Amino acid sequence: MTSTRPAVLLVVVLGLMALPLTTSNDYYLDIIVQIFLWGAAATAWNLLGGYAGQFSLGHAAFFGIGAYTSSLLLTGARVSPWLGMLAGALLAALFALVIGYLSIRLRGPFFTLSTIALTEVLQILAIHWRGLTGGSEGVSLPNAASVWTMTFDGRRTYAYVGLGFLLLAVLVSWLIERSRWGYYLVAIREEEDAARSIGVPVLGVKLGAAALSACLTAVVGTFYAQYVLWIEPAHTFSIDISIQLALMVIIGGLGTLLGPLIGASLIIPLNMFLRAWLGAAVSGLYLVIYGLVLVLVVLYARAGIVAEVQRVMRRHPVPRQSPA
Amino acid sequence: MSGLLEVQGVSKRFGGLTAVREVDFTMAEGELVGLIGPNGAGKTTLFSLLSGFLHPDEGRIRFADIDLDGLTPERRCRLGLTRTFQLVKPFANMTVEENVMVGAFVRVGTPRAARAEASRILALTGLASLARSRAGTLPVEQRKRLEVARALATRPRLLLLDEVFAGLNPTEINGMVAFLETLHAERMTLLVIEHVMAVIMRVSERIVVLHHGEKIAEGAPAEVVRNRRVVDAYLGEEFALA
Repeated sequence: MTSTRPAVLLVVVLGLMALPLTTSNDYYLDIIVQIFLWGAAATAWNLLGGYAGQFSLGHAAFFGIGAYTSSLLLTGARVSPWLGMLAGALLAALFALVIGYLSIRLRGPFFTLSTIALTEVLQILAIHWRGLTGGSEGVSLPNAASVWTMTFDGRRTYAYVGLGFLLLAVLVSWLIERSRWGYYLVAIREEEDAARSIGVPVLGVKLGAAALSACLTAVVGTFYAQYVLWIEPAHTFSIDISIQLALMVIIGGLGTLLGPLIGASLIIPLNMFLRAWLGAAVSGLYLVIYGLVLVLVVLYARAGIVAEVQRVMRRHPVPRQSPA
Repeated sequence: MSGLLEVQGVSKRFGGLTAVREVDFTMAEGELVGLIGPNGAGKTTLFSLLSGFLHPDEGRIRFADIDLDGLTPERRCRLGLTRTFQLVKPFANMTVEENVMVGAFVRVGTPRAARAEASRILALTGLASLARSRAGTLPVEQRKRLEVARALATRPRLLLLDEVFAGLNPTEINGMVAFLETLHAERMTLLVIEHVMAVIMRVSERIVVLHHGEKIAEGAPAEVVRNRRVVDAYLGEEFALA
């Protein structure tokens, strides 16, 4: 649990704030928005999957709950997505508590499988409960720029709103990392029985982490819906989203503060560039290259990029005051 | 007078196998009791029953006048009953200090207080110089110390130690014995599972002997070694091995 130095954090935050000002090109701004958006969701995933080691492949469920709750409230009852976002977060947290209570006693692959099943159930529900969700055609959101409806004219504004959500997720992780809870989460990941034997209330801590992680993921789900202005079950509740979140964190560094953001900063541009350059020429080739890059990372930075950087820094140490 | 720990008629079965059968014993506050028996005698199963990782099929366990029935290991730890594991389980990717801090959090709320408590315990257990090492990199002897240190950080009234001497060389054994004697002198109640007979005879005030899940003898070390059933149980083992 090497904690990130405040100075490093400050530089990163300033860099992120400057990033949307570096371009006016809509394509690049789209990449920046998506990095912030998926970086925020991956940071939320990391609370449960990284720190606590509960490998979820069901976070699309929480993402979808967030997206659908605010969208349906907006189209059906003209409730502002800002409020709908809170409702979605609450619903996702409740959902995580109920499902978590049933599944979180399962360990390892059994837990992961149960989270996949959960997403599938929600996807099928969203497809067939047409009266509520509009079925597989999905939900289209009104495109009229206003702060009240969390809809904006330029992508640069979206970038800053997305950055706000990213910083919220990072701030929550940072606070958790430095608290008793942070230690509990890592202890559970490392040796669950040992943690119990020295008094860590395992069930409560896991459920709390699941609820918080679900909450933040749902918040990003709402932002996603307000950015693309159209959601549908096949994508919003797809395992692809869950896998993407897990991959970003694995590549960046499981259980590290900035790992998820670093993972998103690599995967999102890679994904989008490859698709743009190669997608038209040879369909599917971008997936092959994408896969190759993932293999390289797994081979040469197995513990994630953050751990790799820390290893190099240990060999060439920078003088540092010891924390109080 | 009632004891700190009262075990009454405790049995545990796994399918057709009775791992622990109608075991009774009591421990008073401040005692150091050795728990011995051949492999498969049910010692570790008994530890798991006491610490809440398993639940007895029959019988009851009382600790500090509280019936432990149905309480989780974490609740029992909070009450002051903490175990260690025979196969030590360090939080490998945390530092030694952080490992001990996790235990300290049972009693203190803030990381600052937990760190202070951890450094006190690390000094006590001779691990202070390793505070910032990753626990996964420690050799066996230090892992065993860490296992004990982490348990001590929970401020137990009763500490259950499962084979803390196994795998140590004679010098290391002496160090660990001296350490247990320090804890004992501070009136901590200790129940110690051990295979190394010479060691357990030296440190224990009283010994409980298990064989095939049953308590076959109990008493001062000098009495127990003369007990016919104990000699038979161990001799029988040795003949069977030969």
